[in-house]
Amino acid sequence: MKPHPPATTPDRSPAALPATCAVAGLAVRAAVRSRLFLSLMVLLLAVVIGVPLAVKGDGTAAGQVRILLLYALGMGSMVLGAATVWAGCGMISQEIEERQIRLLAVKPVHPFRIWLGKWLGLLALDAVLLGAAGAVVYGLLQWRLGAAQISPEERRQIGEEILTGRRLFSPRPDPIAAQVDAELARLIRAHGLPAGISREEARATLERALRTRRAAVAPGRTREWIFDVPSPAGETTPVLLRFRLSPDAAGRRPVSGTWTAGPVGEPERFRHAVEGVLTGAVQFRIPPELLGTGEPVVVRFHNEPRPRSRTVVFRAGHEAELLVREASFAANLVLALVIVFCQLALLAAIGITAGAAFSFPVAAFTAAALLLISLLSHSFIGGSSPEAAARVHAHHHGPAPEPSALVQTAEKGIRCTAAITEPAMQFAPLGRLADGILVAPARAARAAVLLLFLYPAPLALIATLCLRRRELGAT
Amino acid sequence: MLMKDRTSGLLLCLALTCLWAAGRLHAPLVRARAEQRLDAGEPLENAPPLVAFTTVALGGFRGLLADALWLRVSRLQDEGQYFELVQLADWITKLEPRTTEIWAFHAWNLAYNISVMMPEPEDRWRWVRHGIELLRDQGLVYNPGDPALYTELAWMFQYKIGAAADNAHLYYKRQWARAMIQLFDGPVPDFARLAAEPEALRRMREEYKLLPDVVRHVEQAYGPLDWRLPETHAIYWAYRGLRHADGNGYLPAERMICQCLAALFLNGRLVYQPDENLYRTEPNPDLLPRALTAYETTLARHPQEGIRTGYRNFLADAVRLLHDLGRAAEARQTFNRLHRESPTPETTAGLDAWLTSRLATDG
Repeated sequence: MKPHPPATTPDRSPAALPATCAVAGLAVRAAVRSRLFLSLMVLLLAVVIGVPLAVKGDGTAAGQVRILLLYALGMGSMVLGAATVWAGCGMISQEIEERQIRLLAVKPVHPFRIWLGKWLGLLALDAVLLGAAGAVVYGLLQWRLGAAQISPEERRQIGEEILTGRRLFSPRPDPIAAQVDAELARLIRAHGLPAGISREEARATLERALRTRRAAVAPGRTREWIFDVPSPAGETTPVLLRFRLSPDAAGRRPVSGTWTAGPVGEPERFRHAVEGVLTGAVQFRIPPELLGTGEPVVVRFHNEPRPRSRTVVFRAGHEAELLVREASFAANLVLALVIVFCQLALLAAIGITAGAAFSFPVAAFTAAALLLISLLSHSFIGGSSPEAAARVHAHHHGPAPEPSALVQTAEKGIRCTAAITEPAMQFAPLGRLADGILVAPARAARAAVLLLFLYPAPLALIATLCLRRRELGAT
Repeated sequence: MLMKDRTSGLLLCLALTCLWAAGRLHAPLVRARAEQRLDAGEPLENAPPLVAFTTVALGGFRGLLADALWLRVSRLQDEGQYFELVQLADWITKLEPRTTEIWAFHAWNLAYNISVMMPEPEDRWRWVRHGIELLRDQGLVYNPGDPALYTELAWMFQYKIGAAADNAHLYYKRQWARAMIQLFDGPVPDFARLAAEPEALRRMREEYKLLPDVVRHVEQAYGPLDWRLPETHAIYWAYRGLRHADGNGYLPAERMICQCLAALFLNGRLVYQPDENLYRTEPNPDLLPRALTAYETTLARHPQEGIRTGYRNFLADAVRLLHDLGRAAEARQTFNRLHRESPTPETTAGLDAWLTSRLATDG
């Protein structure tokens, strides 16, 4: 059926902004009247308060705090996200079904303004609900920290390691590219490349082998890392030096060694001896004044000679890292919530756009399917690389057979989907918050640009086109 | 119209073919379920509503969810993030509550893999307890008739706490002994006292899952045992597993009972004074007849070379120990048994010559 043209020319003047606000206000009022807002608030508070009681930690006070941050806020965000998509799907589609949208269309309000108004209305609700959830979690945290059963030492540890915003510094990357190229050239000269192995695969394998070799520090040897750390001027909280051992080597053989750290000019200002069996992730505190004033920081591990020590195998690629405090926990929490809010904004845009294009059940199904596909693609891309899969297969069954056309097509489809959706998936603010890692303002700004503007913009366009072509009064 | 009838006919044929194929597949599926013991237990009557709902509502999809959670466990563990793992293990096992291997894997992962990543003994002990609790307090509730799960739990007591493989094993032993002293107020359960103290009896049943009747049976069958020692608890759990075995017994549980009795014979008397930080074990030669009976019963049921070798080694150790303790008659009787069981040129030369050669080789 041919769509009806709009009754009158829609108003595109700046004065039409109140129309958007009016639509947003109506959306909020409808949500409040239908008790959606109240129900969500109750559900959200039940989740935020109930989940930490139901979820088991590792039995430590620090574990409980991290559970509270990760699970209470995570589950709360999930509930809010699902509700946002659901409500978004219904906002326009149900108004079309109930023929209420005619009243807006004949004003006339431009379809884009209808979409924008609905989106802003939903975001206002999300902001209030998310803010309430954040405030409750913060209150619960303070209440829990005040509990008598937490010792002062545990409280100090929680304050220094979790309830803080530490920037994580990785060392300068090892300049091994030239070494890998030289080794590859030598191998090709001597033996040529084995059949079925491309130059890139051979290079990646050599690089991996070299990194693994460098992660092992034999007795009597020293390993050095250089960190570019800004001056911790005025900061009194100790810097954490964290190192990780390979899980295969951790906790087994006693080692004896010395960690040193300091600015380039005086690299042994800080000394810390380690003795005994080293376990997976170990960290110790360095007074910030020992790291100098903005010069590169040199961190070394000297392994004592045999028989006092054995080879120490660090976890390749994650050998050592420095954590320097940059923000308070409250600031970190606010920035994490800002990113979650941006994620909710994208979900709202998806839901409202689906509702503009389809009837409510179809919109809900489409939006859910889109999200599921995005999550599965993200999981696929994050959990597997072709090289890793080939390595595992080769280890167990010999060289991997050529995948079937169906598998290749599916993989291409997943990779295409991931190429579109991955930028939106890169933000994981709650994990960082629960680890005491800084949620950087730049990260929050990037999330805002991507999730509040770049992704919703094409969705708004699609919704506008759909609304223009749809019979807004049809049953 | 004709076309429509033809299409309908074809679809009907297709549906019937699918129905027939499904019927053909039913019997192999039922067999596969039986082989994997997926229908071994009663329906999940003892499960909390959430678990019952999840297992029914998610159907086959719960395997996918368990896989996703398992991947998260692997990733977090790889990154050294352990605080979520107790909960994730709990969810994964609840999603597949009937699969013994999943319970065993996650309990082992908590008690072995993660515990050794902790620098402090008290942290390690907490993770060992998480592993034990996962099996004892949950796994066995959902799989009360699975002897393999009892044996997995017994293995934790025998090896993780009882053996010296972990650097912190002495800490574990002390903590366990301390807990048992608090429970029993001594090395053995005093049932008269327990009858008068309902709270202690409740803790015994509910906290440690030590059923008084079974404890009595274990004491009668293998005692006198010191219940502060982990090997005694390994025997208790292996014994409970054995009660659920079929007519041929269950070799892993029986072997474990033999090994633990052998270990208790050598180190089954505990001298523990927490205030003086003294923890020392001494031989318990009174357990010799119990250990011999256990080995012989197991050998009669499972005449395998591994058990026979273990028996021979135990007899050899017992002869030396009894000789060292000055129990000459018992040493000679045990030596005769060793000679009967495994005559060698050394045993043919007699006890004294055998002891001399042993001292020369073993020091």
